[in-house]
Parts: sequence; C-alpha cells; structure tokens
Amino acid sequence: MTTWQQRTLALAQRPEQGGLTGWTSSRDHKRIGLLTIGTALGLFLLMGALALTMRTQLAQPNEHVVGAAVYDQLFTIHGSGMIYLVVTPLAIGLGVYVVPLQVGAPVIAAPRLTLIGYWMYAFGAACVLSGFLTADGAAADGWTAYAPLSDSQQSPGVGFDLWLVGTFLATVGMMCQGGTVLWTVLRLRAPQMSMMRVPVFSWSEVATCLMVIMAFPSLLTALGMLAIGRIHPQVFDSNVWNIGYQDLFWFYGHPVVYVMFFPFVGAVAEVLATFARRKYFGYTATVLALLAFAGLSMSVWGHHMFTTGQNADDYYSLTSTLLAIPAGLEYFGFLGTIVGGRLSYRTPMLFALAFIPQFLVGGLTGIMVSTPAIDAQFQDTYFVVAHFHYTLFAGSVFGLFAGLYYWFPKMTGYMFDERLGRLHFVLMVIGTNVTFLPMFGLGFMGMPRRISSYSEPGWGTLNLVSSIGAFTIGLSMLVLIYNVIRTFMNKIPAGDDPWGGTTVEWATSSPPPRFNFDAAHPLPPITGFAPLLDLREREQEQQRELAGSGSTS
Amino acid sequence: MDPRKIFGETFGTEWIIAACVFGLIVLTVLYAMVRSHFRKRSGKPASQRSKNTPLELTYAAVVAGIVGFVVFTSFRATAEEAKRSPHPAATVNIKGFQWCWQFSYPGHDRSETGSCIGRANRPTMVVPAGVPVKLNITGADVIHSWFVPELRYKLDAFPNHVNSTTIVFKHRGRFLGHCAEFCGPNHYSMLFYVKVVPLKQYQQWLAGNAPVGAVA
Repeated sequence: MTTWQQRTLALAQRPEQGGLTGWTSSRDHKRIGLLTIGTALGLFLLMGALALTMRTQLAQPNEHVVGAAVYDQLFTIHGSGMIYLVVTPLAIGLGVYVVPLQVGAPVIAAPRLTLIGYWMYAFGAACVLSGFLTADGAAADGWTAYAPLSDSQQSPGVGFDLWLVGTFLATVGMMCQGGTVLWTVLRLRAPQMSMMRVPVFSWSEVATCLMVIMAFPSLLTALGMLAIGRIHPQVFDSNVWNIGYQDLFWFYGHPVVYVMFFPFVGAVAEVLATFARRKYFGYTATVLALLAFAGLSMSVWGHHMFTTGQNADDYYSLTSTLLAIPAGLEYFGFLGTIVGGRLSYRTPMLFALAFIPQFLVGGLTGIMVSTPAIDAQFQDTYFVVAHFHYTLFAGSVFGLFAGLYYWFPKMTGYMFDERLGRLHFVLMVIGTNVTFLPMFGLGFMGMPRRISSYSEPGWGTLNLVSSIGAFTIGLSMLVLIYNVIRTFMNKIPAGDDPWGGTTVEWATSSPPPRFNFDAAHPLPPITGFAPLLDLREREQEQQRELAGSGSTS
Repeated sequence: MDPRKIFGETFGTEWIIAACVFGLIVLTVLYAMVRSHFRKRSGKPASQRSKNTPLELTYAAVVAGIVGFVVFTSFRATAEEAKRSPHPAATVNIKGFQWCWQFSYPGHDRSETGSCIGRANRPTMVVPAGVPVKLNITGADVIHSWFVPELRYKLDAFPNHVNSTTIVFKHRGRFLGHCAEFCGPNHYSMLFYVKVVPLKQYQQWLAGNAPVGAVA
C-alpha cells in the first residue's frame, strides 16, 4: 500500500458521529452519497413543480397565469436546476455511494474532498435559487445563458449574478466528487479486482468522471467569460466573444448530457443482469463502447450550433452520427442480457425495461437532429424539447429510478412496498409519454421553445394533452413520496441480498458497515465482473457433486 | 435552394430508418419476454453465455453501415443547402431587434417594420416566388433567429455579424414566422409574415406602386 492509501485509511478510522453534525461533516462515502442524492431528489421535486407551472400556462393559447418575465425565470431555473443541480449530482452522487462498495474499497479516495464537493454543490444550489428572493427575480436567460443577452446591460438583475456564482460553485463541487469517484476505481479496488472485473455500473462511472474532468472546466471558462461581460458588457460587441461563448459552453454542454446518462445506463445494465438471473452479456464490448462514447462526446459540440451559420456542419454531423455505433453496442448488451434470461418483473426491472424503448426514442430523434438540414427546422423548437426529455427524463430518470429502487434496500436496510412501486411505474410511463410525445408534433408544426405564450389556435390540443401528462407525472411522484414514508414507518428488513445480486455490494450488510466489509461480512473472492453469481454457481456445483457422491455410495 | 424540399427528402429517409430500428428493438424486447416465459415454465435456468464476439462484430458492422448511409444523406443535404445563385433575383436585409423585425431591400427605399405587439403590428416580408432570393440576416442587440416553419428553415441573427443564404420560395401565400432564439421577455411575440408573390407584383410593390396589403 502506498503512503496516501495508508493516510486515507488512518484519517477515515476516526470515529463517526451521529446526528446532524455527524452527517453533514461525515467522511463516509455512503453518508456523502446519500446527502448528495437526497439534496438532488428534493430539488428534483422543486424543479418538477416549476415545470407544472409552465405546463399550466401553456395548456391553452393566450394564457397568462404568470407574466412573461416570471415564465422566463421558471424555464431558466427548471433547465439549469435539472442539469446543474439535479441529474448531474444524482449521476455522480450515486457513484459516490455505490462505486466504493462495488469495487470492494473500504473508503472513497480523498473523502474530505468528496465532502467539500457536496457542500460546494449545496451552496451553489442555494445561490441559484436565492435569485427568486431578489427584486428582479431569478436568472431568466435559459440554462445556456447566451451572450450578449446575459451581459449586465441586457440582464441587469442580481438574480443572474447569483446564478453565475451558484452554477460555478455547483460545477466545481461536482468536479471534486467526480474526481474522487474516478480515483477510487483506479487506485482503491480490492486486490483481486482487475479493471476488467470492475462491474458495468462502476465502469459507467469511470467514463462519466473522465468526461466530468475533461469537459467541466470548459463551463467554468465560459462562466468566467460571462463574469467579464457582467463587468464590461462591451466585450460582447465583438462577435467572436458571442460565438466563442457558445463553443466553450457546448464543449461542456454536450459531454454533460452523457454525464447525466452513462451512470443510468450502468444502473440499467446491473438491474437487467440481476433480474434476468445471468451475467451481463457483452461486458467487454460495453466497456469499450462506454469509453469510445466518452471520447467521441468531446468532438460533437457544434451540433448545437448548426443554425448559427458559423459552424463546421459536416464535421459535427459526422461525429454526432458516429455516436450511434457505441450507443448501438450498449443496446446490444441490454438485449443480449434479457434474451435468454429468466426475467422477474420487480419494480427496478420494470423501470429498466421501460428505459430501453423510451431512451431509444430520444436517441433516434437525436440522430435526426444531427443532420443539419433536419435541424434547420427542429433547432429551438418543441421537437428538440421532446428529444432531450426523452433522453433525460424517459431515459435517464427511468434509469435513475431503476437504480434507486434497486439499491434502496442496500442503502436503508428496508424493503419498499412493491405494489406502490409498480403504481409509481405505471403512472410514470403513462405520464411521461403523454407529456413528451405530443411535443414532437408541436415542434414539427414549428412551435418555438422558451415562449411564455402562443396565439396559434392549432397548437392548443397537443399542448393540453402534454399538460395532462405532466400532471400525471406529478401524481406518480406523490405515490413515490408515500411509498418512501410508508417504508420508513413499516421498517420491513430487506436482508443483505434481496434481489440475488451479482456484484459484491450485495455480500455486505444492508446498510453496509462503516468500512463497507467487516469480519461478519467479508469481501467474497472476486473471480470476474459478477463474483456473487460465480460463487452461487460454484456452490450449486458442489451440492450437485455432494448429492451425486451420496447416491453412489 | 428549397429548404422545404431538402428537409422533406432527408427527414423522410431518416424517419423510416429510425422507425425500423425502433420496431426491431421493441420486437426483440418482446421476444425476450416471451422466451423467458417459456423458460420459466419448462424450469430451464437462464443462459450463462456472456459473450458472442462474431455476432457482436457483425452487429457493429451493420450499425456502422447504417451510420454511413445517414452521414451520406446528411452531407448531400448540406451541400444542397449551400448552393448559392450568383445572380439572385432579389435581396432582403433582415434585422432582428428587441422585439420585432425589420425587412429592407438594398437599393430601394422599401423597409417594413413594426412593434410586433398585436396581430396588426406584425411586419411583412415580401418576396418573389420561384426565383432565388438572397437573405442577409443580422441582429441589432442580442441573438435572434429568423424561423419560418412553412419553409422548414431557420438561420440565427447575430449582432455584429451577417449570415447570408439564398432561398427559392416555391409556394405563393402568406406564412407566419417566429423568432427561434430566446431574446428576452417579449421573445414569444416576435412574429412576422412572409408574403410570397409573383415576381411582377413584387417588382411593382418594390417600386412603391402597391401597398403590402394590395399584393396577394
């Protein structure tokens, strides 16, 4: 063991306190992970409430439930919140909790940096949201905050300054956490765990954190550019700063889409394998696909800028369309795993199975808009809104719930109510598709995004259908909240391995002890990427041999 | 170039490919569920095969083939859109500002603008039908985007930068246009009309002999 590993262990061996102080100053990756996931889920509900207000406004033409100025704050904070403060932290927070357990590490690398990361994120979120308390309201320039609209002449309010500081803080916080997750996989794996025995979810976190480290600094630079524009707005009189901001922003802005997606691909992969009762199919191809995908993700940003007239259209169309190859290999892994499996349809599996066709809608429409001639119609319309909600909501959020229902018994030690889980699933599938499918139609008809009201009577019906769907999603979240409350009141013990898991986190107790594995729950031998499945097979073989020798003697 | 035609051909092709891929994958999921049902019934355990390299490679090659075709379709459409006529029959300078549009015609003192507040104050951009029209698009203050859904086309209006394109307006009539780039509180109301009229009427209108309302 190297010196820093010894130091990390020594530091971590100080006793943990309970109570609020204990939780908020913990060096235990499980507590930091739960803090991050819990904060992000709380904000998720808030961002959903903002979306419902918007859907109320758009349900019919010429409605003015809120004024244009307030509506602009709603979509700005909904978009910024979901990306910077909800799905990115959930993607990385899930890694903070699960990755050390999955790779058989007793601790996370640099636990205090992980904790600082959480607090930077939490303060950043508070900053962004506090904009609502200022005289001019919160930021209202969209999550992309294009210059020169976001300079101090065009957007003089303090709300935007708070957005700028908050987004910067939250992003630095996520880089800290992403760095420690990556470090944990690379340097703190259990001795027998070679890289090609690292489970698929942890591999997805490796690819994710690589993108965090490579792409997030570009956002910090772009935000720095905006900060200069807050002081000297005349810098944006030069076009190179305006188009330059977009290039810097999307250099972050596209990889972050996969940051918000990969960990949920990983979670879906683990859930599919567990509930198909077999090893994940095409492990090596999937790992290579994830890495190729992450690499390619750094070269596609200009597909957000096809309509700027200042873009290498063919190049970005080529690289963006190429993404279909690694994405196709990931799907091959999903399908290969369930074909030939014995599927059991528990709540996590239902979410994972729905992820497959739903994300596909987002992915295939993504290939369409990576053709500039098609994007010329769909860019900045509801078609694009539908496309990225199919990837981020119908895809990532379904993958997130697959993962959360799957690891919930491990995290809490309690089993949730299966029937309520299924009800949540059914309502969410209906709500999601009723909300986002009509938006493809609206975009085809030409409804631009980010409009606070519209006068075309022909857009009314599809918008009304979409709003009804949005409230169905809202209802499904109430079912989820009720299920969580009930679970903590009923306290039905889940046991160490309620699902018949294949990776080592299911060998320890639920919730796991402070250092993840102890004398009562030792780390099992790691013989592959599904060590518990190997273990069960060996035991069955031994039993068969015993039974065989018993009958002959 | 005729953006509506290019969009129609490209989207028509890619939509069908996407629908086939979607159908195949959904069928595979259903097949997996049916097979699992019979596997459970006959008491067979799940397959423990964890890879099939020849199948994976073949599959990757097929996906790469489809990707190659889509990229080819995309490149062809972009090349089609980039075609410029050396002698456009008309030129329109388009300027987006907070929160309306100005359409002016270089060499003529025609200029259409308005406040965009209410239906009556939406400006109209008059263009001749069936001939190449050059558009020079710019922004006065922040980034806007000139978007006409009927044409299936938009182009951003940057301040201190001019984007140019040449479009053939095939169909006569009056079409609604929008601003597609968020530009502040009244972004939603930045609506305008594009009126496509026969070349002769356009020339009369341009010479000041006919008001916008009279061209139809």
